[in-house]
Amino acid sequence: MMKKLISYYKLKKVNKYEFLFSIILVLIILTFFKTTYNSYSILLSNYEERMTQSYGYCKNESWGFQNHVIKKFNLEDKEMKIINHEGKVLIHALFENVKIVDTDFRYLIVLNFQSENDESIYDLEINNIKDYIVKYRFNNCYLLELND
Amino acid sequence: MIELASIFLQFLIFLIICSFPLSPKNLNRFMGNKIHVFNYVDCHALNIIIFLNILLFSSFLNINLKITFYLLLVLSLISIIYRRKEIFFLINKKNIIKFLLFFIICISIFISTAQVLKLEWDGFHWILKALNFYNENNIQDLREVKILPEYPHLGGYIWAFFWKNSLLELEYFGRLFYVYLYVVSIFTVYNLLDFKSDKILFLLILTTVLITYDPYLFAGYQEYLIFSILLISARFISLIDFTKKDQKKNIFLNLIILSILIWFKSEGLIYFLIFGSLLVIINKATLKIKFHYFITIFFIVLLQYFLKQYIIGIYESQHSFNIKEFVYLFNNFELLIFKILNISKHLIIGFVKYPLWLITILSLLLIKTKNNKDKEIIKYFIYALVLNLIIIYPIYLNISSSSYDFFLRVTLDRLLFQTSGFYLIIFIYLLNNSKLKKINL
Repeated sequence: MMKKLISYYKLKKVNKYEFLFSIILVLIILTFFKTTYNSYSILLSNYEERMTQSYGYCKNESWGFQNHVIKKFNLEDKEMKIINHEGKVLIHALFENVKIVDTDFRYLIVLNFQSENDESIYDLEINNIKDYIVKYRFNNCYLLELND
Repeated sequence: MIELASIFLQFLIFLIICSFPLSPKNLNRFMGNKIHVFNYVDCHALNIIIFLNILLFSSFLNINLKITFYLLLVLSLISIIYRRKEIFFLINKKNIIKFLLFFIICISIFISTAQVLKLEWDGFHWILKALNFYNENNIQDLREVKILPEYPHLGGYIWAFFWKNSLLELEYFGRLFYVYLYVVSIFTVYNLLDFKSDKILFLLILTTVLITYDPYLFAGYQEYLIFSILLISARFISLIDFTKKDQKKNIFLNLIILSILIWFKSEGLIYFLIFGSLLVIINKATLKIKFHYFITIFFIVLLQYFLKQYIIGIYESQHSFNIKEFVYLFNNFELLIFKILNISKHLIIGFVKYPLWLITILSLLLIKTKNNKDKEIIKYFIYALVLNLIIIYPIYLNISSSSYDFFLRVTLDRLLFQTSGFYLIIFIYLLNNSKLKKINL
């Protein structure tokens, strides 16, 4: 059936020149969009790894740290506040079921805490910061929980 | 491997869903064309417009995303099975190479989007709308979106629709539809190219993709949606014969295409009003018919207002007129001139950033058309271009002196990009009227 169809539409009549033209066109596309490299990268690293590569673990938007603590401490649907002390954009929208509030939060995530000399996380200008305890820390990224 | 397979599957889903309901046969019959004016690419583009309107409708009815998806998928599959003979006739050498080019470009950009997952600044505003629908909230809940809840929601809805209805339910699958629409729109506009050589056509399509592809704008921005719809619209506007009176079907078709712009971004309303009204004004129809066209435009704008005000519950124009700023400017003539010069400077920067504008300007200088129909169409696009550029001045003059410079730097280039594709048609007309047309590579 397929053979008949091919001969009917004269698909066989692709000359060398046309074939070469098509190959060059395909090569231009694959090179411009880095398709082979990108495919290799997708095969090699899963979605979470690529997200961490894009947003950083504990740098820039720190997606990796946020993903880690949300999963490890089951923070879905828990009221929390996130601060990126370096001023980068907050990316909590990328996590499903994360409840962000401005007041009365149980959890506080501080990303890329900027400090000088012996400044600690408790020097952060937040009203009741002393009521929180550090639950998890990785370099300059902190997860704090309200100490009831 | 599963992720790559899902990307291929997503392409197939787009292809199937956008093959319904129009086919070249029924579209040509409906538009009353004796010869086959519309081919399968045109139909695919128009099917996307219909699909977007269905999504818009479904968003207001708060229909579950999965129900809409499966319903459309089943209907599209039935339609494909029913039209299988017609589809078999499309299998020829030219179409296969064209499809392969389309497939490779789409897949390459899909894979690039999957690799660079980072959303850019505005992407974090638009994703909030997508999340509202993804989390199965109602359209009324858009009021609770923290940033810019009054902005149009259709882009976010499309994002959520394909995010939810993808195999892996990953965020970026929603954005792949933006890519698909963009590639389809470029193929659609080149339907107008009247060249003997297919190789030149393929080279032109590829060149257009290469100079208009900006991964930054695929990172959550909505600019490509407006860019693509305007490209599709330009192709169908070129079918209007402005020298004739009876062009009702074509005019209404274009008003429907352009009307979808108002649901993507606030400035979409301005584009709809300018480009839509210009269609009516240049047209040779009687005053009575023109009145009907204007009523249609007015009705579409009013409908958006009512839907946003009374169903979503929020309507606020981003382009409200700041009379104080204008009075202040006219009392400070030097500042007015300075602002105008500054806007002009950023316009030139924008033209250089998006070279499609340079191609348009160059084409305008070189174009010579022979027949009246083409002359009228070129006239339409020149008027549209002039109005488009003029409207930019009051928009930015309206912004207060303290912040207008910031807005100029971060938004004007994108504003220019959105409409750059609309004038590509002038370049295509230039090619059609050149000697290159006869070259057969």
